[in-house]
Amino acid sequence: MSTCNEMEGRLNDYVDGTLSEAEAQSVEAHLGSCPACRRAEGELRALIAGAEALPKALVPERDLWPGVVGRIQGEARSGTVRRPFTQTIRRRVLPFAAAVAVTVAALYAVAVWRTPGYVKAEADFMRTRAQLLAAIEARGERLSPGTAQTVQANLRVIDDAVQEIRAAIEDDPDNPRLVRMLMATRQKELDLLVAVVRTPQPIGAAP
Amino acid sequence: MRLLRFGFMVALVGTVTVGAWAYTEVEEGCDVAPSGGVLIKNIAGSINVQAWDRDRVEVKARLGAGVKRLDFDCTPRRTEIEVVVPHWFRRHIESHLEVFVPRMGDLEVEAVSADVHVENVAGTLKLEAVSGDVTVVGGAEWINAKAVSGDVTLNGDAKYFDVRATSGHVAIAGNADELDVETASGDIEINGSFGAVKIEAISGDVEIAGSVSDLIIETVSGDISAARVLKTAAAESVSGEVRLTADRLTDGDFATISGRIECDTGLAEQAELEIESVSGAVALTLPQDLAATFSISSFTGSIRNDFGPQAQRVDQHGPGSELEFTLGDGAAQVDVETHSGNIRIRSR
Repeated sequence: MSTCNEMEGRLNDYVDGTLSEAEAQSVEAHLGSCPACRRAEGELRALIAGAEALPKALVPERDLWPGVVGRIQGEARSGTVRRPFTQTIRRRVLPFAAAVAVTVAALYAVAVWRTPGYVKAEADFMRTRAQLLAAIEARGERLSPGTAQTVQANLRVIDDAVQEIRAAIEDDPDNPRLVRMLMATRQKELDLLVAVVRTPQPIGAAP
Repeated sequence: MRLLRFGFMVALVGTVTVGAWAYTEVEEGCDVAPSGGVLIKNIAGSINVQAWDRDRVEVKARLGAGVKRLDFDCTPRRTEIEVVVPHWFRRHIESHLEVFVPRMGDLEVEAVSADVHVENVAGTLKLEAVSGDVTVVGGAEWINAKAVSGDVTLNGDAKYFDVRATSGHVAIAGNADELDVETASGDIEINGSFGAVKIEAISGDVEIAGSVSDLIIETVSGDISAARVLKTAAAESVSGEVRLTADRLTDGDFATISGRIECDTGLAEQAELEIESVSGAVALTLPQDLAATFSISSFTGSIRNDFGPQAQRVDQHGPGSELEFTLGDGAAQVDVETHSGNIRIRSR
């Protein structure tokens, strides 16, 4: 039977339905006897349902990325207590981010057929991006130098690609393929940020 | 007297030092069912698992100083082996495990800073390490391997390989019906014969030697090279280069923003090949006796065609070139579109 510590890593997969039968039974056995973990499961399911009904939103008022860049570059934060990856982040952020990414991917499919709608879809991508960056910032620990470097370099590649596609759309605004490529590139950015949120970074581990 | 006291102190310090690094040797074993499962957990050191033809699990452990105990929990259907260290102990205490398991059993290994090495276990393998390397030698039913910063090396055949790595190098040599690999910055090398292959990479380069029946690859900045695709291929890259050689594609779908796409392939009857790029160049090499309908266009890039017909301006006063022509009965369909990338259609 699973323990509460083991549930931290397994609850997400259990709610997603990706555990093996034996693992799911082990989780269910624990949930049957642990009110705290049962509560956490309920919260997780409610979060996913809420994320799937997200309203449209405007582009965020401020860009959170500079703060994250500062952390990636290893700026000291005085008074910051290093904490391990909290259960709250794992339980709430990962399924939330995945569900939002799926929602936004559906929006991109609509954008393909309604070209002006891509502007709205991009706004939703930007909102999801901001939430994921906030989740990374909320981890409260530095990324390893190697990981930070990889993430930074690839986000720059994606930013350059988005600018390139936007310029192409300005030249050729009636081209639905360009809109589709823009949305696909935005989706890659979200996939990268979700991968960062998922990556375990044990303190002291080699980069 | 002073010399004696000094000698005594040296001996005392030496004993304490040696004692601090001394290992405790522990051996355990039990009889199990031939296909019984084994779970092994070790935080630091190494885990070495060998298959044998006995219905028995045995472990020889060298436990580092500070280890609380080795848990060995054995039933006929399942054995669990765990190195237990005090949770308050900050530094890594290395322990080294040599485990012998029935050949046809299932194996699960969880390691943090320990290397994992598995040989000839033929059941299902589920192996996880954070900063240790994961190495598998010999075929298995199904292999699931995860490493964060360690390398993953698989040598053998399986029905299904599932590999998740972050920064470590992934090397797979063998044959499988299905291969699924995800990595962030580590490079991937694949050699062998595979049915369906799916790869997601961020900046690592992907090199596939050997043959793949159906290939799906997504990367951001890594380069992709596939030597022999048999049936279908889909490749997406942001800035990485895509180089692919295929026999006779039935379906091809390639997209890039600024990376270069090079594809050398035959096309099956009724095949559909679609290539799109923003600024990346496209070089497509096709057999001279191909039967296909071509639709090629570029907003500002050039179009060169070895098969004869040349591109025309869409509008005398504006940008855009297009080229449409048919070879043979036009059974297959080839669509190539770029925004500013140059297009070259070659014949061989």
